[in-house]
Amino acid sequence: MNKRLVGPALLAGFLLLAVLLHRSTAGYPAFVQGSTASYVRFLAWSLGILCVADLVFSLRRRTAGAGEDETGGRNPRRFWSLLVLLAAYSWALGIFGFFASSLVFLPLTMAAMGSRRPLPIAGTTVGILIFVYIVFVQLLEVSLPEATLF
Amino acid sequence: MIFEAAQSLLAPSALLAVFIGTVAGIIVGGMPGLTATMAVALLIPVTYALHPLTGLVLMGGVYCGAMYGGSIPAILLRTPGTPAAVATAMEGYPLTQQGRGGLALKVSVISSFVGGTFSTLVLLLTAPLLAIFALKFGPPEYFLLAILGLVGIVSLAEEGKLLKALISGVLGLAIAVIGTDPISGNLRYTMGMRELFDGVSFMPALIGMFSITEMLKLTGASHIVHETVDVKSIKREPMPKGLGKFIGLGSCVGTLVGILPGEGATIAAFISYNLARQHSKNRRLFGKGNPEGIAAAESGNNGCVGGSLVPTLTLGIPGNSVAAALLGGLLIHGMIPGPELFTKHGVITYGFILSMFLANLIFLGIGLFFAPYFARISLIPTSLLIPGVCLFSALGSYAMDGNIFDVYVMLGFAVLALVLEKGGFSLGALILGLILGPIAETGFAQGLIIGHGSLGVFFTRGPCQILWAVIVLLLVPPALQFYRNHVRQPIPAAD
Amino acid sequence: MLKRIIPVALAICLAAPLAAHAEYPEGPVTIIVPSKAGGSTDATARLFILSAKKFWPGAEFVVKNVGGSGGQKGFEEIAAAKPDGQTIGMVFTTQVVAHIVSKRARYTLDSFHVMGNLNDDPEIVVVPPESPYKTLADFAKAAKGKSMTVAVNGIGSDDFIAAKKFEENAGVDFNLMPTKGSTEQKAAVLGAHVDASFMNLSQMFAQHKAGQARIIAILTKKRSTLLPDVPTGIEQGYPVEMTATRGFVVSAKVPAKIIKKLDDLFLKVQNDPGFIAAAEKDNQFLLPMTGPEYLKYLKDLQVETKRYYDKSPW
Repeated sequence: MNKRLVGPALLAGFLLLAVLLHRSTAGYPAFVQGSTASYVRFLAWSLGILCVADLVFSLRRRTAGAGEDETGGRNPRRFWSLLVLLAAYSWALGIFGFFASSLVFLPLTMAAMGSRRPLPIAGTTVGILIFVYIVFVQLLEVSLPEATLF
Repeated sequence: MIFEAAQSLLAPSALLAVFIGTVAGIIVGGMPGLTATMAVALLIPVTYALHPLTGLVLMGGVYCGAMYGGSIPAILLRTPGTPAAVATAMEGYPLTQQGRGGLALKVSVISSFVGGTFSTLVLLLTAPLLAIFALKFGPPEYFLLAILGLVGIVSLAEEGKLLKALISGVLGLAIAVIGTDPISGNLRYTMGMRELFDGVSFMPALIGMFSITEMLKLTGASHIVHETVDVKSIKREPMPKGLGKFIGLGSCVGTLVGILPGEGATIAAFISYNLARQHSKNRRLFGKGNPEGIAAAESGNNGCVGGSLVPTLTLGIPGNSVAAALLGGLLIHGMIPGPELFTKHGVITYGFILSMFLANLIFLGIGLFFAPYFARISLIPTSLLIPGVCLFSALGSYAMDGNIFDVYVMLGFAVLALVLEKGGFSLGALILGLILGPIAETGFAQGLIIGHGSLGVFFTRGPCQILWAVIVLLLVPPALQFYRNHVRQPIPAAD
Repeated sequence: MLKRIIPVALAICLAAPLAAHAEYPEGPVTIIVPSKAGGSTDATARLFILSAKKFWPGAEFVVKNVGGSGGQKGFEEIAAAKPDGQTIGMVFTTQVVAHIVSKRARYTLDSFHVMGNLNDDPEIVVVPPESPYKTLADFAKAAKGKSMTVAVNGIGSDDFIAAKKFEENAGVDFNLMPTKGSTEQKAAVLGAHVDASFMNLSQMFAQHKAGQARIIAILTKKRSTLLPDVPTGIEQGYPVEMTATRGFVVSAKVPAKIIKKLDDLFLKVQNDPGFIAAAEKDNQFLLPMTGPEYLKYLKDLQVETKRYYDKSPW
């Protein structure tokens, strides 16, 4: 994605959001038209005006916004695999429960991030899970995601 | 009475309870998604069987410890353990990347200690007096307080990106509108999802924007600490000079905001952070790892602890959610807030307040001793660190409300944050909008009801006028600068 | 020798898993509390657990706080829970029926098996300490002349319905200010930002005793033993009654066998002297009702609430 296009594209999106937000307030009950509905309308107007102003400004200085690439030495393969793994993990949590999902997620992600030695992978995985069991389950009685499959 | 209270606090069981409470608090605060509110509520039935003082000091220790504990992962991993540690993450994490995590932790623990001790002192000496101040704040004042907080966006904005920061702030306010309408009780923009009835969960959004985005960025690095840094140089570094001013500022702001019922440590930390940012001589260092920012934010959020107990103990109006849970702990022993608490139950009440000094001392000791060891976390290779932090982030997002949906919220906000950052928008401003949105809207709508529909209510009340004066004062310097940069000289074609 | 051991061993091996399977509860029982941690509903749930553990020694109970949206989120979650009896929950009035009446809820009273009610919190009318109104009559008279700002918990709450009832009874119109809960109401009354507030007794009696606020009426049949000097609405000529009940329910789809066990546990807790003592120390007002009694109460309340909704929908 070209960085120079991201800004204006987002601004256009927000402008649309502002219009939708403004239109939605018509559906508020009559007795809040003067209070919360007008607050939301105010937000919509502010968002719209600010977006238009920023669009105008960014057109006036076309070369601006190049900036330094803060992401430096990013590794796209690892970046995307982590994102996919995270999405899969979120999905798995609801189906297989916390411990089963984590037992797969942790080693898999470690491998994807470049870990090669089995001992640290196994040790860290088991260590984290034991810690969670002791602190979350035993001490604080926090309910963890449970398997809904069975 | 105070002497008697101090004596009863010296009982081994009470001392042990303070210690256990504080340590447990640090752990709970250090885990994203585990909150002091949760821990205190869990302790209430446990303390029922204990002596009232033992039970209370246990909960007080948790409260103090948790407020400090939140800063540890914020500094080391950019994963705020509590929402109040966001501002700390903004300054502390860059320091960690520069290999100065040990220093950041030290600044954080000392500022937390000073803020916490100061506010406890205020609670001990002037609680009834300050409670009157808390009552002066009605809905119109809360609306203006939110505005005052939003003015901070101006100081959060980077050079030449003021408009984008403002847009981010309004976007945050707009996201905060999702959920139940505070006046009509109608559901808006929830798309029929039960999980959104109470709005977008704040903590998962925060974890996504800070922790997960950072983990995604770290995929390109082998360690958190920049490769250029000599790893062996992570040694003890002396405290930088000139932090006292910012710690004092944070302590005062934290205590004052803490006293206002319903306002939390997050707002206190942000307001004092923004004030520090505006008034620092090292403005340019902010956002790139400035110990002054940590000092202001941490003394600010810990300052809330004592402050929030002022209305809780004297009026029975909890200062925030933790204080509300603590109130439950008082009630279960038949101790009802009000003047009686300081007379009939004086020994226990004063013992509880004094125990908080002790709790502050305990976390100071633990924090200073362990800072160099904690700092080593940043040396763990990312291949092992990233999966672990992601797991705790997901778990923390889930644990807040016990909802898988919140894990998706976390992911969604992580992606949103990456895109917004690419477009040059400000995450700090977005968060400020998210935090202050509900207060602004409720304050505005309720203020109008109180004023019978007239906007005059926001201008005629005494406290409102003072707040307006503060807001204007805060806006003058940036406005002058904006005028100098943009209007007098046409914008130079940037490089 | 072996002849005797083998059948026994076999019997144990076979019976153990069978028994383990038949034994309810399997694993922790989650209690959904549709309000934030630390509140009075939350405290009731935690005291319930303390007592319930005595009767079900092996069982574990976990509180799950599902706050916000006037309890709707929590009520829906109880109704939608897996019907295995591992999830039970609390309801409070009038919110639980108000959401049905306003057609917002995705549950009805039929979605629940009502286990019974534990306690209640009487409705009160409270004014700031320096307020000129000392009785309901003063208050109603003044409300005819000017628009009085009155704080209530959210729309559809017990406070809101009580205020609506009072409006109808006294022939007045309030300038109602919905809040997010008792904390905001307390601050508004103590700071004199509103003329009055309709709220619950437990939230304000300490402030009344300390002279930080003044309760001018309690809206129940009898005066409260806690504040014997405060007259009821009926005594003052305004027969308006309201109280906030807090009971336990479970999804109606749960098998009858498990429901029986749960009802039995509930009755035991309700009559447990330990629970009663703890609740009283916590200044909770016990109002024991059995399942059928409480169901009838809820149904009547729903009819009544609907009447107010139809008159002026919110």
